[in-house]
Amino acid sequence: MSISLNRRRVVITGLSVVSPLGNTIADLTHNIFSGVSGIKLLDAEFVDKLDCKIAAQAHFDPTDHFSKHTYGMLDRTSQMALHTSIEAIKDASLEITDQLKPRMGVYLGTGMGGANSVEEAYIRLYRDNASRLKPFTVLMGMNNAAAAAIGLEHQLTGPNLTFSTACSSSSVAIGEASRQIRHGYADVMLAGGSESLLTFGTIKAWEALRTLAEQDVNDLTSSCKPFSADRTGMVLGEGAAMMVLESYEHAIARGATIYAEILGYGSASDSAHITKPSVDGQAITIQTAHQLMGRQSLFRPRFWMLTFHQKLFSILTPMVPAPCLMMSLKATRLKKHSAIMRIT
Amino acid sequence: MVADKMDIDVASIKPDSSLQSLGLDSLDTFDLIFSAEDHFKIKVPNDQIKIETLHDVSVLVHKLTIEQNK
Repeated sequence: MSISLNRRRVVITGLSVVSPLGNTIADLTHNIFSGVSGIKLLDAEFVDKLDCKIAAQAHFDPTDHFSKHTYGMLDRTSQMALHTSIEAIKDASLEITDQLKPRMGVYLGTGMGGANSVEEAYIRLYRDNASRLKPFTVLMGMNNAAAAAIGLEHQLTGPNLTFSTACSSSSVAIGEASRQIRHGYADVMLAGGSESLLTFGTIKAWEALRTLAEQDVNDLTSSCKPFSADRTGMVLGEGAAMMVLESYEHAIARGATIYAEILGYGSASDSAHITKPSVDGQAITIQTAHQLMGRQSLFRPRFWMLTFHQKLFSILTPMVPAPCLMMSLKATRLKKHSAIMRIT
Repeated sequence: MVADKMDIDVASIKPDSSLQSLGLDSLDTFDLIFSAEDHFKIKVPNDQIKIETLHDVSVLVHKLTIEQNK
């Protein structure tokens, strides 16, 4: 397979996050490299009914950021996504002009969308025997609600799509957004993801899949330990992250700070198993991303990061000096992809 | 109820204020009706959701409260 390299360069110029480890890039970075865990005892009224009572909750209060009228129409997933979109644009010092609006879009990943709103509706119907639901239930529960809210907030009329490919949703959204710019359909894209699924029903469903970690008897914050021989599974969390992607030319023309360049992205389906990724599928996606990189060397990395899906393997090789390449790999269900970024 | 929903000053609301002038769009209007149904224990039939001002809302709620609480 040959891939044409006659395409535009795509760079990252804005970043923002809502996470259990902080709601700024600085706090998140500090906490990650300080070894801080975001896992705690779940703060929820139904926690006693759970086998798995731990989670990584984000510290995010919508009343700090939005009017009641705004946050009242949005699921927590959309609230976090909308907030990160605003902060990412600020971080990029991007002025959204009328000229830019049709050339700027939103690609967002989410696995379960407005899970809180859907569950609240079920509770009203089945537990409280309500005869009707809130008027906004559909608009809050639909998977594309967050991307729609972002588009409305910033008046963006470029492409606006939501990707739902389980654990790879956000990475797919970023990769596909980079293609929109690379192929000339957009100049700027907001790309990222949001997830808030710490509801009673959702956690019970994950419990049933038998993938959730047992609480570590010595330190519950260490319950997720993918490299340990005594690892027991994953821990659910919530959060959102957003990037401003733009063409290299657009970023240079406005004097933007460039954090990184997306060099390659690949996507493929291995069609082997609903949860178990195949080696071949992962290899194909990495090869596709490498081909997109063309002549740009993979052999001078400052560090590589490989993140594997769900079965909780992760490899971080030692850092060495010089140009920096980051490669991330996510694989899930029928969807796999890899993205390669150069940190400037 | 409107002031709380729309984050506006109660003093700025008058009986003849149109819902549109208070910032309510069609979805907000449905949400207002939902809240009124909860608060006044009434059910607003679909064919009676023709309200443009707060006065219209008041008249409708008053009428339905009498009719449905007999």
